[in-house]
Amino acid sequence: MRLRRPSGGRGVMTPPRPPAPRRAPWRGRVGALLVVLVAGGVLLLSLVGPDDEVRVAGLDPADGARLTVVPSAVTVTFTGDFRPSEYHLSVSRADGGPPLVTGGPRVAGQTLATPIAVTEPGWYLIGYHVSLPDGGQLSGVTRFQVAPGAALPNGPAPTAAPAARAAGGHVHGSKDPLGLALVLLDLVLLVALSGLLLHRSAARRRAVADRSG
Amino acid sequence: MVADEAVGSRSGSLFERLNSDRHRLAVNLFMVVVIGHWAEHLAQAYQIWVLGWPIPQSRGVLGLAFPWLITSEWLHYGYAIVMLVGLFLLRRGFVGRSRLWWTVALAIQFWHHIEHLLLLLQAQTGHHLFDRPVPTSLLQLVVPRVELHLFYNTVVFVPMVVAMYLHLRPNRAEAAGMACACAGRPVAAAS
Repeated sequence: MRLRRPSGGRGVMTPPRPPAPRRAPWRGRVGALLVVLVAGGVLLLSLVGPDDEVRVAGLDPADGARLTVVPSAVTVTFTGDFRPSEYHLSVSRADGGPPLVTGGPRVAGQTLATPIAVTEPGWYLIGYHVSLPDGGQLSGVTRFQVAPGAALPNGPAPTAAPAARAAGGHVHGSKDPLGLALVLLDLVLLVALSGLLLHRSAARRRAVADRSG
Repeated sequence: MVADEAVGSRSGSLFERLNSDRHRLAVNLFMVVVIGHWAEHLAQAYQIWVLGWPIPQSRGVLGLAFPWLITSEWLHYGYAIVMLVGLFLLRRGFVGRSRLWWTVALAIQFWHHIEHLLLLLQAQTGHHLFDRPVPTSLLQLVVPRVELHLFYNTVVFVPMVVAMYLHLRPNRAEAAGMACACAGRPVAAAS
């Protein structure tokens, strides 16, 4: 017979709880196996190793980005052995108008970039095209928005939210009000959770002291 | 006889012990990982919004010493896996309402993991969903500018905190069904 103490704090002999109906053992094992398989599969993918295939790794400004600082350049980043034989990069307003580039596009390492002169809020389109020595081509059109009241850039580097540089194509850290709202919500939750855990520990210490006293 | 020692089973598989006499320890360790992760995000937000650092330099605390961490997609995916495994392994120790909320967190985390998997597969194969120029998650089709990692971790964190609150403050029926000492007192036997 198992001795259990009720919440009142005094030791009382109680009859053992009838055993709960056990779930089929294979269910837990199948679940664990699935998790292991998925994790293992992803690990294998990561071990494939770098390949030289040229792909778009990210754009700055990112596709769909809403900028609170006017960008002074656009950059397309590529993976692999990026040595294009031809390349084009242009920016214009989404509702039409002349190109807004202020210089020819330049290739530097893994990037294709061009300075731009954007002065007004609104939607803009980025168009890019590269031809590769093996005959392959990459092209695409993305868009970004300059918010009303956006600040002028301080320097040559774009100060907008970073492009999706990572392999996953999404950012980790940005100056976005939505991100700030999420962080503030998380701060509240974090304080609540920490308070919950600390209060629990204090209550447990008091209970132990009461029992030993 | 110390009643505390009667809590949970001292035998059984690791999975069973993680959900009985070791549930409290395991949940605490899991919470340390979760809180540490959020502390990094908060540090990064402080650097961006309060200190006014440029975003590339706003790398949290660990990212200052190890800059590659902040851009490592595998690290973020690894955290998603750790969360998924932790939520899965510790779920059975939750009882009643807390298990419901914990399961909600597990389900959302599972979808979060699928989204990461889609991104990684696109990055590895070069075939992007919907002919987008960069790997794209399904959520980003609806909310293009959302910070995916932050969003999903938040919507997982909300039900987790609710589950923890209910787990640490169970009602009488839930307390009777608990096999762990997470609530700060030994488990009462079922009447």
